[in-house]
Amino acid sequence: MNDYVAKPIDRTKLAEVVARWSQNNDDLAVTSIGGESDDDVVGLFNPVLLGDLKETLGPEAMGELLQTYLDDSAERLGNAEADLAASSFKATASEAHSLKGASANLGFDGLAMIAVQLEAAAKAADAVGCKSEIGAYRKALVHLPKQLSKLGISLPKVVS
Amino acid sequence: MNVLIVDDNPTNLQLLKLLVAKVDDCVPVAVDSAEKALAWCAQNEPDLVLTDYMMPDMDGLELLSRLRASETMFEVPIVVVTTTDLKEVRQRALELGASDFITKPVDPPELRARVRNLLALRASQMKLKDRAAQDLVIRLSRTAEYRDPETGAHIERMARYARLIAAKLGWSEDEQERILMAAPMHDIGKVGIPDHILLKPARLTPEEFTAMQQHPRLGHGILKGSTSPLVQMAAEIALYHHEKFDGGGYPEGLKGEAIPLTARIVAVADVFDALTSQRPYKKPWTVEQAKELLQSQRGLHFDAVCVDLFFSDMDAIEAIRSEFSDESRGL
Repeated sequence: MNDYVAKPIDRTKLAEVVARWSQNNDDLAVTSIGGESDDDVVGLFNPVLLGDLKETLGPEAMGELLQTYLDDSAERLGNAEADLAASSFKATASEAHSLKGASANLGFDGLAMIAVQLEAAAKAADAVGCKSEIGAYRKALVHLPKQLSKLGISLPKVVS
Repeated sequence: MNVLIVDDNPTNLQLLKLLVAKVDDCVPVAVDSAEKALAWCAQNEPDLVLTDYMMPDMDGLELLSRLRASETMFEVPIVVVTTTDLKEVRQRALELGASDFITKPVDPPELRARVRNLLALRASQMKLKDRAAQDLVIRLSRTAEYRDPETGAHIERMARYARLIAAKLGWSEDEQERILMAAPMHDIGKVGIPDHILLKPARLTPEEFTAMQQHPRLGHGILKGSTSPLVQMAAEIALYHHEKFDGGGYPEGLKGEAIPLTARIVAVADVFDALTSQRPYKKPWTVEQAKELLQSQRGLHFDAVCVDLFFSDMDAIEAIRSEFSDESRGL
């Protein structure tokens, strides 16, 4: 074992550990480009994966993919909230799991981390924790398109 | 090749679909549940299946075991997409017959490389099956020659005309080779037609003609149900090579693109060679005469695309005619 992260996971500490270990390996580099958002949004991306996707798929398909992600994430957060209101923690955890997978697949490591914590909170039946993670995820989603546009990835233009 | 992608999460599904579409010769088919995957597999044959593990209702492992239990899907490469932490899931997947894993988050170059490798494996699997069948296929084609008043050179030429059209359609080398081998069996059903009808030197009565028209179904009956893509193609050609583009053919009266492309190709190749060959009851038509007739039947008897592509290369047609002339086989 090279390192550890204690449960319950603290977002900042986890980010530190990941950053520390990824410095030794360019392929796993995680960069913070949160920049101007001064709230507790974690603006973490996996630039290698994102770059790879952008290059392979092209900006247009990438934008469409992002749109699908945003729509689906919003729906899942809504579901998670409804599940939470019904004290159905198992369902909340399953939505969180799905959010985690999709975020990680697109290189949105910061969002994936929030999803990890939401899943953990749901499994621990921690309603307050769940609520705060859902809130954090929502905020991060709002900032996402702007942050991505700095990386040259933008949502498809809506033709009305 | 068909790649079936199964994932309940729309983002992952779209991502996998986009990545798979970037691999050469790949046609991704995306479905959002294992149930839909099974339904698709009941009608089509995938060359590769990529399935997520965790899905509501039926999960990836259940899908895997159902596909492995089926008669036709038991050897299709199946890749399970999992997160790295699920070691016991991966073990169970291997026991159930998973061919490979892809871990999430998906690494695009790795995914493409694995897909490419597994499809290469699939292609050689298919080629082996064809090779196993090939020897018997050649003998079966020879059998068909014995029962056919037409010459062996006719079979050689029509098969090469069929390959020529397939090449012009942009088919891969493997597929061209397949139609070259499959086309000679188009009339194998004639082994089931009584001599007094098959060899009758005079015009057939309506009843005799109806009996003669059974040969596509008889041929299909002989060839169907094989696991070899070559014999599968031959079965399709045998059944549909007398269909006409406008729906006026037999046995099913299929119209247009409902007629399999293989059969539309063979229809052009077969009729062109029949017209330009000498028969006991007729003189051979010239190439020009035959060309005129086929062109006048564009969209009626024949698929216009196949006709046009065929006559786009007169040199190739002449080369086949001179290499496989009736005299060359010593009639």
